[in-house]
Parts: sequence; C-alpha cells; structure tokens
Amino acid sequence: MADFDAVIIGAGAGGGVMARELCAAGWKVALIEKGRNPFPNLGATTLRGSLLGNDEIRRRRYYAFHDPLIEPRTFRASDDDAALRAEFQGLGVGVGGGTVQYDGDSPRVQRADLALLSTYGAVDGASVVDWPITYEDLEPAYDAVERLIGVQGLAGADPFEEPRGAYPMPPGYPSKAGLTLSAGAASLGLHPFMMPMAINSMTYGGRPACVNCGFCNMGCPINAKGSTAVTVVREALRSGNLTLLSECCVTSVDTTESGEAATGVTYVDGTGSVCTLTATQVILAANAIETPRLLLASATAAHPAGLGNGSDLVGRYLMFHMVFSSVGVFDSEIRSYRGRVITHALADYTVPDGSSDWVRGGYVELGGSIHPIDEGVAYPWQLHRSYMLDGKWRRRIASVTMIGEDVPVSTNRVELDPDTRDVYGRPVARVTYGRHAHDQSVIDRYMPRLKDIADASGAVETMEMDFLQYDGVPNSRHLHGTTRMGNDPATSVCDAWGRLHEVSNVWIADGGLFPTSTSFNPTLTQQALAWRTARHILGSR
Amino acid sequence: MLTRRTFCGGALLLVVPACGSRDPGPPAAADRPASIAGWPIPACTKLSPTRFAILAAAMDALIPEVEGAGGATSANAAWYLDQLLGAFDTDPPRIFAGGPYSGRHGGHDGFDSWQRLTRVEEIRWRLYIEGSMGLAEREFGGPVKGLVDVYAEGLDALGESFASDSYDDRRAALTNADPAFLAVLYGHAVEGTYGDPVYGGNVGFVGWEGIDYEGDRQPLGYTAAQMARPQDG
Repeated sequence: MADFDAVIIGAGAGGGVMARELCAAGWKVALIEKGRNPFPNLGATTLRGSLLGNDEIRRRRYYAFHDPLIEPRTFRASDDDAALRAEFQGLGVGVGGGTVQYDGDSPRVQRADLALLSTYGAVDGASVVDWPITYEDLEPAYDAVERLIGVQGLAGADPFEEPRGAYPMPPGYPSKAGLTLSAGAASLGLHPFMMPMAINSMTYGGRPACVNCGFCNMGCPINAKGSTAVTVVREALRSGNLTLLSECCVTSVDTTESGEAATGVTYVDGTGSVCTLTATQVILAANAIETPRLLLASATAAHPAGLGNGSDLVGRYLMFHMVFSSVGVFDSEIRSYRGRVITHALADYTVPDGSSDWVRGGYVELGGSIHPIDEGVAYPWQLHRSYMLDGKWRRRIASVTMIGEDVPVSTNRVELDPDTRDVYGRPVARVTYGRHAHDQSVIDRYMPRLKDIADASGAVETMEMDFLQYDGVPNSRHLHGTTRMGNDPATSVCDAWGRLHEVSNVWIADGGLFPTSTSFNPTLTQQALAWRTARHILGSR
Repeated sequence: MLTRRTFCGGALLLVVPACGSRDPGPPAAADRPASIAGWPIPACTKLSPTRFAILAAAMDALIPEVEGAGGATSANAAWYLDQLLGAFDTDPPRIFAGGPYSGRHGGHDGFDSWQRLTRVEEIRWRLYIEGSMGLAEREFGGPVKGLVDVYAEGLDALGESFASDSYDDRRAALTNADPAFLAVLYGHAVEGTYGDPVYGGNVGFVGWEGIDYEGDRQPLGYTAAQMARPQDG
C-alpha cells in the first residue's frame, strides 16, 4: 500500500493544476515543492494577503525564485565550448512556481501551432514535428483551466484567435504603454487587442480585482493574480486530500528493480533529513530544465542513462523562444510601471507573410515595464545620475516584444554538469543552446516590423534588443521541450498523455512536453496539458 | 535637499538613523570617531570606521547628490550595505521583509516583520555574506569569498585617503577599481538608494522622490486615469 495515490514534484503551473484535479477526485496526493510557501494561510477558509510585497529588493534577493547560488547552472553555446556558470532562465521557486511572478499572459495557441510540420513543412537541421494531439484535444482543457485560475480577456478581439466562448472576466484597465502602442499598430493595419491575462479584473474565485500596483513580477500581494498557489493548489488543500510539502527537494525518482514502474521519490526535507515516500503515480512538473535534470539523476541499472532515457532524448530539443524587442522611447510620460506589465498584444505575425519560406513571427506583447533598481544597475555608473533623473527607461519607454518560435534542435539540451554541484550536493543542469539559422531569420525579418510599430506609435528613438544576455546566454524564461511527447518511443520521451514511454506510472506535467515551442506564451498551454493528463490518469485507474 | 557640495562641507548636519532605531549592534567604542573626512560614522557599523567612510565616499561618487535630488549619501545607502552585512545579528535575519504592505498606503505594516529563512536560504545568505569559511555545507561549489571580505579588500584597495579625496578624484579612482568589486559596490549603491527604506537605505524616500518615483503602491494601486494618463500625475 503506497503512502499516496500520487506524488507531484513541483507546485507551479502544471503541478498545481494536476494536484487540484486529482484531489477533487478524492485522490490522496503529496505535492512536493523545493521552495518556500509565501502564502501562510493558503488552506484557510478565507485567503488573506501573502508574504509578497511591492519590493524590488526582495526580488533582487531571489525571494521565492530560482537562486543561482543555491542551484547554479552552467551554459555553453555548443558542445565545443566550455560550460560556464551563468544566471539564466530562472523561474519562481516556491508554492505557485513561476506563476507567482509571471506577467499572467494567458493566450491559447492556434491550430497550426500543434501541426507545424504538416502545415508549414520541415526545416533543415531541426526536428519540426506535429504534436500528437490537436487543438480540439486541448480546447476543453483550455476552457476548464481558464475558469479555474480566472482569465480576463475579450473573445473575438483577436482576429487570429481560434473560435472560443467568453472569457471568465472582461479585460481590466489599459496602460498608457498599451494604448500608445496599440494606436500605432492599428495605424499600420494591424489588429491589437487586450491581452488575455490570469489576473482578476473583478472579484473572482474569492480573490479581489487587481489594483494595478505594477509589481506583478514580484508577486501579487493581494492575490489578484491567478497563480496556481492561490487558485488550484488552494482548492486542493481545501479538499483535505493534499499534503503540501514545501522546502523539500526531490533528489531521485525511485523505481522497482526492473525499472518498469516508479515506487515514489527520495527527497531532502526542510531540516536536511533524507526522506522517502511511496506513491502509485509519480508526476514531474518541475520545469523543462529541472525535470530532465531529475530524470537523468534518477539513473539505475535498469535505466543507466537516466529514467525514461533509453532513447537518449531526455533533455534534448530544449527551446526558449526568441523574446526580442524594439523598445520605443517617447517624449511624453508613459510610466509603464503603472499597472499590469502587459495590457495589449497582437497576433498578426503568427501567420507566415507569404514569403518564399514559412518563417513566421509570433505573438507580440505591447508594453513592458521597469522599476528603478533594475533601471539603475542597467545604466553605466558614469552616467547613472543624469540617466536616472531623466528616467528614460522608467518613465518614457514602451516595448514591442515578439514571442518568436525557436525550432527544436537535438543538440540544444539539458545534461548533468560533471563538475558543478548545488546546495543539496546534486549535479547541476548544464545547458547547451545555440541559435538555429531559422531563428535568426525570424529575428532579422521581424525586428524591423516591431520597430515600425514603435515608430508609428510616436517613438522618438528605438532600441532593438535580442533576448540573449550580454554574455550570449538566452534568458526568455519560457522553457519547452526536453521531454517531448509523441507517438513513437524512438522519437519522443512521453506519449500523447504525458506518460514516459519506458515507465508505466511516471508522467510529465510541464513545458517539457512541448514538441515545438509554439508562437505564444506557454503557461496556459502547460496548464491545459496538465489538466488533460490528470483527467486521463483518473480515467485510466 | 542637500547637494553633494553642501554635504561634503557639512556632513554632520545629515540626519543619520540612530542605532537605537535598528537592532542592537556592537556598543560604540569610546574612541570611535563620529566622522571621518566629513563622513558620519554610525556607532553600530559592521565595518571599521575607516572602511565605512571609504564606503560612504565611494557610494557618493557613484550616485552623487545633485540639486533637488538626493543621492546615495542622503539616502544612507552605506547603511543599507551595513545592514546587509549585519543581517544575521537579528532573528529572523534582515534579508526578506515581510508582507504584504508597507503600511504607507493603507493596510497593516507587514514589511517590518522579517521573514524567517529556510534552511537552504540560510546556507545561501551566510555563504554570500560570510563566505564558505571551510564549512562543508557551504563549499558545495568550492570556496567562496563572502561579502565581508569582498568589501574589506575592495575598500582597502581604494585606500584610506579615498574618503578625503575630491569628488572628481574619487570618480577617477573608481574608474580604475577592480571591475568585479565595482559591480558589487554599484549594485548595492543602487539598491541602497532606491530600495524600500525598511532595508536601511532610501531614508525619508529621498531616492524615490529625487527621481519622481512613487515606490510601493499596495493596497492603493493606480486608478484607470493614473495608468492611462500618467502625464496628469
């Protein structure tokens, strides 16, 4: 008799949804989260406040966030390079995971995103494939998740959106940045609309409407943002069926001697003690870097290359999106830090423009913001005072940012670093990621169009910004691939339901499942996939 | 608002937070100077008086006072760094402020209720501040020099006379400083000038007011008009 019906590793986007669905069906579930719980009364009758705050220092000190001192990562651009320690692709670490600090952008994908190969064709040097599921498979999951977490938006406002019903909430207040850039985009014949967001525009789910404080990236102090913590994890706790183990780091997935099934997990608890628990089903939802890291660290005699890695595909086809911007500088006050980080978007460039190849752009965010500490350290110290007094970045910029789809390449991957260890003594993730020629083509083709929008909006100057940091390390915070799903065990890690091909009761519920990265912000799709997997697990028991 | 020039001529006029308003630090030594080269020395600093004066002078050179806008000096950014170095003098340590509100715009002041650290966070922050000190639990990534030693070495390298140097000479010296140390120093100067006052800097909100920034807004937030028409205030 196992301790739990299921153990879920990671209380973020996918893990939270999974916990809610299994607990609602009466399953006894352990949800293990290595970070802290910033919501002290999460399971109480009335949810009040949080330990989050409008506080840049907390954010700079990695509060409830991936901390590169606790868990370093190494990076190299190719197998020929030495891997160096770098700070990149950090997401929230704690109950709610990345959904605590994300913008809340919650678009659905389009049909073509799930059928890239059959719609647009192959790309040399990349493994462009169709997903093993269709938009119709995801649609009911989207509907359910949007209700569970609370999404604001206006159906029909995006002419490129798949037909859909009403959003649970109408859009909230627009920002000056969103209004300004939307006007410019519309003057070019584009079709801007208010961004679908997992942020309350009205009282919803017992949580208040957003007051537009502008500190979304530091977590919502009043729980107006629909993080999985204050929505689905809270629901799971309220069911009485969830055991939430925060500050506990899973170090291995444990299996039977034959390796055919998992028996549970081993973890280090908040006191530093090594513990084990058993579960009938094991679900990994730690993100597309940490999940393959854990699978690779769970190697046994039956799985010598890592759990579920007989195909040598665990960790491969890592995708980050190319998140690149034309930052418009305006004469007038914009103050993008007032209100939600993004309030508007457009999807015109998600469709190929009829050029000779199928290179297409992606979803475009209109807005962006920065607060003074991040602004200050970005300026050279020699110019700090005059730049800060002028406040160009803080007060007078509005960004046009594309979520560009990077193609899956087998050499872009997560492995275990042979030399560097984390605070738990585990090998850290070594990331290899190089830019494919297709991806550079997307940036080359669409960066001028982003600049056109900024110019048409009245920008007096623009700054074009790639998503690669100064040292060439990508930092988009969109993580996909590494445990891709598919129907063929020779070319995929998981089946169409997210189950490892090689282990009967181990499932993935994060962005690792994405066979291609799509041209949209990924969180809602991750949550929809988790919901779908949960329903399948429940139905198949 | 004091300008850099008026400050250097009359530093003792600056209002420096009394030690009694912070947690008890080491008692003031009888021979501890009240100021060095015009830089006020707090009685409870974690740094030696000489190093604190160099720190204050360096932060002033990075973020100087200008007419109408307080810089690192009037924000007491050096105090911010000092509080970080002494974070473990209190329980819970002064690393993460509480939540969800500062109390400045309504609601209860939760910022001053410091959060306890998790086990690994305590290892992390002791590692960052104190260094690995040969302790196995801290040397998972090899030996690490702590912030205390980083500052001791970096400030000593600037030299004792740095605190007495002119603004221009201090800027020139920083140009030639170790880039790694300068990056750390600059980051803390910025945090101490524009961070929430609960962390020891941005005293009286001079950092925010000097750049016309509103700071934290919860639970008030912004109205639709304040979002859409920021030019109107």
